[in-house]
Amino acid sequence: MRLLRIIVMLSFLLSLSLPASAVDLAGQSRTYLQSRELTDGTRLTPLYEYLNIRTDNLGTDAVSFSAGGWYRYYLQSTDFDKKDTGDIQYAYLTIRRSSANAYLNVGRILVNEGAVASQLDGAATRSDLRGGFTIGAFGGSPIETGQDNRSGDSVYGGRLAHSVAGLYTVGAAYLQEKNDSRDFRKEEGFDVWIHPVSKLEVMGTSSYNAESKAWMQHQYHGTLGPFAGLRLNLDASKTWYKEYFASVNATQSMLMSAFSFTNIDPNEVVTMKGGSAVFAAGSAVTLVADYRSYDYLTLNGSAVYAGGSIAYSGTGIGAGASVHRMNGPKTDLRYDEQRIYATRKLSRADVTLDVLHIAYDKAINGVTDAWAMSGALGYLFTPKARIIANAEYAKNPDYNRDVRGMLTVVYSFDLPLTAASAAKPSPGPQTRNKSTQR
Amino acid sequence: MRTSARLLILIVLGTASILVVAACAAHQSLAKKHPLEVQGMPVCSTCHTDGRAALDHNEDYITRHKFYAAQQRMTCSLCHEPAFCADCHAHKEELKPSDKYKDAPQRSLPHRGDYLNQHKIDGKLNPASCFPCHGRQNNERCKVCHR
Repeated sequence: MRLLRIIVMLSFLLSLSLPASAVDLAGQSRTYLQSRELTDGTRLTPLYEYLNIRTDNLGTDAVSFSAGGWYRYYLQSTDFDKKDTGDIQYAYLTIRRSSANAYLNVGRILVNEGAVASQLDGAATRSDLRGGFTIGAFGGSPIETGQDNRSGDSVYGGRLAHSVAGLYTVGAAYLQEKNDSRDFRKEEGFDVWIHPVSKLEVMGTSSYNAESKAWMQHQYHGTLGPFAGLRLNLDASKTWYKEYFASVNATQSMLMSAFSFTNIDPNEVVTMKGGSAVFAAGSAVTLVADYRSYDYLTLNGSAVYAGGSIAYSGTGIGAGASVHRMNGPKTDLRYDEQRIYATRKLSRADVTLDVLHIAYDKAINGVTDAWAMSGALGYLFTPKARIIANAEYAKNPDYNRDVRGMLTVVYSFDLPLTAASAAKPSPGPQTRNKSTQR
Repeated sequence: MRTSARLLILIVLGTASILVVAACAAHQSLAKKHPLEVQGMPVCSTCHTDGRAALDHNEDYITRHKFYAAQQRMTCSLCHEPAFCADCHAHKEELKPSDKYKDAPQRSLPHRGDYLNQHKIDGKLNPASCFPCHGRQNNERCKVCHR
């Protein structure tokens, strides 16, 4: 019902902005037919359709529309799940100004303003101001509490930032969300990007729970280089679970948190430190060494995840391998992990192999080695149509033998909906269709 | 909500909008799309010397893309469709990103292999790292099992 309301609302907005000359409609359809098995042996064959569309020019270059969503239908009868379901991931009308990078988005949108983020049905706007300032604001109804009724739900917030091009950006953001008309989230935070000297960048965010008046999380990243192909990265974060996951009271935190599990201490404070060294040996080979440590205050333990990888990317061929070791505070979090993959393009066809192995220090459900092997064959029928067949085998503590298959059909389209629009030049370069960026 | 309160909000929003428009910078907006075709992974620093030079999509770019996206989303949209973000950062999902792109093993897509099994182990490491995608924005999939 909610989806229907959104579609009706957006159709109405679209119809208001559509001139007689109509539009070009571009986008992509991805259809997946999957075959997989549940632990009780039931074989499932869900059919998925992912469709995204966009119109870059609704009569004027200042107005555009984007939408994407998916639908799933089980081809066999089911009693464990809904026969079909789906979701509109995003659907919004954009009105842009030709100056100040100003825009207004209306519809279902993902908002990511510095230290705060939300997905909502509503509106978001931003604009550059004079003197290097930028302002953004958003408001609407949050869409994340789908198992809750949305009566009295609202979310709003904004961000004010200042930038000196190439030197720094600092921003302060605020978000308030109400669930059933009661305060649910109140977050404040700031974000920073600093480029004080050449080859050095520091960036990060700090988030504050304004309801409980305590920090939720700091996360920062620094990058140094490149120096003759070598780049160094440093990462650090500190997260207070109680503030990060929880909400105003116990009842609401149950609604909000996906992690209210008995095996995770809500009072835990985890500090992560780590980094990586990335070395580009020529244009085709990359070597990476990475390290991350996690210190747990309440558990009084630590974990280390460290290893390295190598990747090769040549004309029509790619390959990579990685080796990592996890040393966690508990025995099930101690394992060795290896991965190797290769992909080869042969004219219109391509073949991909991918193998992942995890060797647990201590057997889990009697299993010490988990394997996942995947093979894919792709074929490009036309520049806009591609088919991929994939088979996957897995063995792990949950499955003695898990065999899956998936058939994927990808079709990109760019439809001039009227003769008038067909005659006009294509709006902008074909970057999105030709590259891998969609 | 009372009529007077609604009126007050409308007045405040209207005044704020007028002030914002009046204070808007006069410089030209970014192009809607990147004016040159970009093939493969972009090396922005080839042409740009300001903050955009930091957006080189090198091998470890994935680890810091969230910071750039939070500050420079308009720059991202020069090349990326919203669907590119939604492949991972969706409100409600059933197919994991690495299943959608089995033919792209070089991409840094989360949860390769049978992660349904592995998440029970790795989830204890730092559940905060799961939350941006599976918490507030995708809590329905977690609650299918974790009611």
